[in-house]
Amino acid sequence: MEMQMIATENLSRKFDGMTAVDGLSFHVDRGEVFGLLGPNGAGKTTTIRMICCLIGKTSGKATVGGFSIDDPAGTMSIRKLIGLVPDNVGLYEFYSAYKNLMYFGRLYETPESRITSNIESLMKKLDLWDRKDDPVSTYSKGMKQKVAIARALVHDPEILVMDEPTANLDPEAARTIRDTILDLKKEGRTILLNTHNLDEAQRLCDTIGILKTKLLAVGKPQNLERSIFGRNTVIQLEYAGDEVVQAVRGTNPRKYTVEGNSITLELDDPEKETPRIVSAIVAAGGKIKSVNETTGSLEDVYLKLVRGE
Amino acid sequence: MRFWKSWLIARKEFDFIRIKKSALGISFGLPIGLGILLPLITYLEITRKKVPIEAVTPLMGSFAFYFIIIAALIPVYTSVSSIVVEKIERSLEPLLATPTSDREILVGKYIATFVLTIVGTYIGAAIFVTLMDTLTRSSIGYFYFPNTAFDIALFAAAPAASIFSTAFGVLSSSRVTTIQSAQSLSVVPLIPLIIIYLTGELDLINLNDTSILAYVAIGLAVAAAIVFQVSTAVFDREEILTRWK
Ligand SMILES: Nc1ncnc2c1ncn2[C@@H]1O[C@H](COP(=O)(O)OP(=O)(O)OP(=O)(O)O)[C@@H](O)[C@H]1O
Ligand SMILES: [Mg+2]
Repeated sequence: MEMQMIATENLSRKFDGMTAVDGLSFHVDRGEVFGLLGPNGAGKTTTIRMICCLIGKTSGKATVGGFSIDDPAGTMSIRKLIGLVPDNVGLYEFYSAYKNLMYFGRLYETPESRITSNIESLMKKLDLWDRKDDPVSTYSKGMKQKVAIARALVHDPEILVMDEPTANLDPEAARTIRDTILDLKKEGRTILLNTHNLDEAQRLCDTIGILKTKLLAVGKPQNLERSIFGRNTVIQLEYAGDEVVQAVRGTNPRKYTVEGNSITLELDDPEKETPRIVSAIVAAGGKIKSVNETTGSLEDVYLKLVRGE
Repeated sequence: MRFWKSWLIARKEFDFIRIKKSALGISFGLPIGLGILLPLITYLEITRKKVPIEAVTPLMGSFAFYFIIIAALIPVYTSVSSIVVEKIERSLEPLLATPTSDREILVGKYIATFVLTIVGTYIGAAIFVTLMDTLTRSSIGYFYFPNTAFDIALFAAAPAASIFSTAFGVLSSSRVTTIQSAQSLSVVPLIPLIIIYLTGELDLINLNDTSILAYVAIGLAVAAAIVFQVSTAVFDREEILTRWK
């Protein structure tokens, strides 16, 4: 059952004449983890606030679970479908984690017995159960972030929306949060994630959208890299002599460079061309040690797009 | 509008106020202090200064007005802080993300402030009445309180004053961008009350007159109804989420 849980079409938002989000079109399928990757001020928070019906849009369309963000009755349904982890945890510090979760479970109109069982399983899973009755003000940042994630899940939402869930956390705490997100992904939750951490986007997301006011690119991490840099085929030889290089040139690759005993080729259609080139090298007496495909990293893609190179 | 949701929000407010000393001090300390102080002053006037009883009873009557002012004063602090605290702790964003309407949220805040104000005011008033009667019975010859004017002040004017002031506090905290401006703006409802009180002190009107107090109560009720409607109508979740500093 493929269904678009979130879909936007030309979604835009201006603040006093300044455009924060411009003509955004993307969709998140059921069970997909979609990452919005962008620098500070790219409009990531603005985008998810529009999707969560927290702020209005200036133009365009968006639907969540089939409900339009413009339809006042639909927005109540949208809110129930989504669990939000905002960029600031926004917990009630004087309340214990347990009471925070209880309060939100009720605000989300979840049956009481379901709330208590959800709280218990979430807090145990997130390693918070031992401290459940301590006021949140005594928690570390990482623990607070975990409580915020539990709060977003207490009503069993189909969609989880997270605004930079690992920002400002130490590497270990960030790792725990990432593992949690991976677990949620395995459970088949639909997740929309904001981040400016490339590594995180690559590790967690099925699809990445690179945002800088406009959506600069959308795709699977590896496809993004390929579509922007193309693919390179690197052939390592025992010895790259003249005959071998001649043979490679004879196959008419788009571009090739020889460095020591390795030949790097830029090919239009590697699936077809690579076997031909390999045969030609072998026929010319070359001894091949390895054939690899490389591409630019996500970081290269990101920097290239964001800097507008 | 689902009342249970507002009540849920109000209960969270009570839990918060319970641990917040300044809110407790203002909501209970102020009226209780007044409930003790005013009878003591009266007692001293009678026993030490030998002020004649005919002059003391109008003064005693006019004290009722203090409880109307108190009922308007407590919300200035509590209604503003109930919204401002959510803003400062950034809890407004997750709250507004839940399927809860603006009106349900605001009514929750109103209930919390109103209940707190009325309970504080009535505790103060009960102490006031008990002490006053105990200390003045022998001089006056009968229990001066309660009386009709006091009842009108306490059961009609004070609740109306509290709602008026609460609504004003909510209104100002949702329209301006700092705590300071919200709190200074929400002092506005006190101004007409203080003017009325001073007019009474200058003997231009008689604050012991039941009909004057009834007019005050009606005026406050009308003002409360209007400001309440306005405050829920102009509450702009987007504004309060994105504009607050
Ligand atoms: N309420 C507002 N009023 C005016 N401008 C705003 C408002 N909210 C956001 N902006 C502007 O819109 C742009 C996008 O902001 P947004 O917070 O969505 O970016 P972001 O990608 O989440 O950035 P960050 O990584 O810093 O969180 C910024 O230039 C910001 O200054
Ligand atoms: Mg942001």
